[in-house]
Amino acid sequence: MTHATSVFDELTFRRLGLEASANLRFGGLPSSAIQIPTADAGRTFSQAVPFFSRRSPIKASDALWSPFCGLMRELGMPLYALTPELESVPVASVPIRFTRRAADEGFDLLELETAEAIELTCRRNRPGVDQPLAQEDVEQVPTLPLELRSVDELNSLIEACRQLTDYRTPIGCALTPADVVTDVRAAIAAQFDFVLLEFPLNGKQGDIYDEQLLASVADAAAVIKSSPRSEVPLFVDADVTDSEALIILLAAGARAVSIDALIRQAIPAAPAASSVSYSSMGLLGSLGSSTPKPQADIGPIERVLKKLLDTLACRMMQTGARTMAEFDAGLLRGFSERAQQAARVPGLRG
Amino acid sequence: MSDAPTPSETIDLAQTDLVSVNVRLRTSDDQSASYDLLSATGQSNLACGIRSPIKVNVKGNCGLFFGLLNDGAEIDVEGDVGPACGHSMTGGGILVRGHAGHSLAAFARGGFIGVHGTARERCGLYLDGADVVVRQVAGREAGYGMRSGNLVLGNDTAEGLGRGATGGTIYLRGAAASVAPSLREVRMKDSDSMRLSLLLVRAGIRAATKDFRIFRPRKGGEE
Repeated sequence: MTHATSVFDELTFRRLGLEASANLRFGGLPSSAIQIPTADAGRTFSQAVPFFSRRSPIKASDALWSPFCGLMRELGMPLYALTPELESVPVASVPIRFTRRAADEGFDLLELETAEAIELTCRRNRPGVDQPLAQEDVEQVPTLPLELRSVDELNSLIEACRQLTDYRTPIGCALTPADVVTDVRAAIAAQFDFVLLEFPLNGKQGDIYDEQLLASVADAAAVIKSSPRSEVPLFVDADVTDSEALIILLAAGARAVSIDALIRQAIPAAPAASSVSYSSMGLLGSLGSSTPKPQADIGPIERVLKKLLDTLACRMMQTGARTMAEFDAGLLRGFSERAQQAARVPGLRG
Repeated sequence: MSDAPTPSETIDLAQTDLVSVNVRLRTSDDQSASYDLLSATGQSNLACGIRSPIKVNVKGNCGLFFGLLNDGAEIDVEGDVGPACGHSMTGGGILVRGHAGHSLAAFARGGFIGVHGTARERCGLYLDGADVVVRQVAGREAGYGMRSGNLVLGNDTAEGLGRGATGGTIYLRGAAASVAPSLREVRMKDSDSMRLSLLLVRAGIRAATKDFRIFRPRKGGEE
């Protein structure tokens, strides 16, 4: 486990110098950084760019995994991953790591201790499915993990997580929007450090012009902005495959958005099998089979993410926004016809 | 060389900040250390995330998430524990001399939890490898979503035993108000009897293994 230890040393090291990740290769955008205040008043988690990968289409078993992790690190984009998934990744390629606890899974001590941010999945109780107990047993709160019955219990769980992370790690809440305003309000009241809206994929691609998606994001952002904890960042994980559309989501009120669908589109196709079969050629066959596999090409993904960052830089310059906080729906009309379309969605501020 | 036991360190919870108590337990250098925690009055999140095989004796009642993520400590509670005791536990042991709240041992992947009193609904929620023994009556939906491990119920249980369980073994001594259709009763083999005996001994409970019935989920057995 020497290697694993060095990975964790590296993670510990990263805790000390997160600000350093603002040095980006692709025309870095220090102004696009977002901040997540944590329970420890002396510490704010700083994320260099407003993008992250949460449901990465590249898996730890893929040849692209290591280069992908390296790219995410280089760009300062957090990656949701479990510690075992990073054991095969060279230390120099370990990215900022977020982790999450699904509603039907337990906690892992190592995950809690080493992640840069932790997300607890909360979902609206579905009578007869999530909480088949009698209604009187469950406090009527929309966002509770499976084993909890009341807000007091949720608060205790968050406090326990804070203790185990020395009050230094942001603890967020992932919600599947049902009643966005109520759910986000409950999450803010429960003292979560960030709120993530997860739009279920349902096998279809998210459409940025889907009024419901944009309006949900705008409503959630408005709830947060009007709360006493207006600094709480809103993350959005939707299946959006277009750079411009991701940036429109940022303008609609998200502070960071998932790039997974963008990456999925950019994954290079597996190299075609050779037209010559070596399997029946004796020694030549064995030589053929031992030929090293072609190097995984991270280039297409790199280009897509570079374009995303360039587009964001361009839109910020166009609209005169100096920080992500200034980059809001009021500026949408300024930067493209598609953005103008989005700006007509009811509920968008500006 | 002396074999004298390490003296216990006594901590009065009425006089000490809970966070500092937890830090003290979690960062104990001496793996043979023993701690007596006095005056527990329902504090939540006590004894969380302990990795060392230290001994902890608690006098009084504990609140929510007692022993959360315990990974090595041997804990004895002379009182009751609140909901979700032993949540996500991976090792060590917790023995509760009183009663337990709901969701006892939820998501526990290892270690042992014994309760001499009753356990409220959903004890062994999504149990995933740990051993759990409840001496008295267990509430509704014991073993809900259980994946692996052993759940020993030494008395009656309310409706919905083993609802949604996909693995593991449930030992039941009394009657169940209702059993999930996905469970089937199986014959007790010698290995089951042996395992049950060991679990009962560890929980400090005297009972004959022949009085128990065994339930396991049917293969591919959703309801």
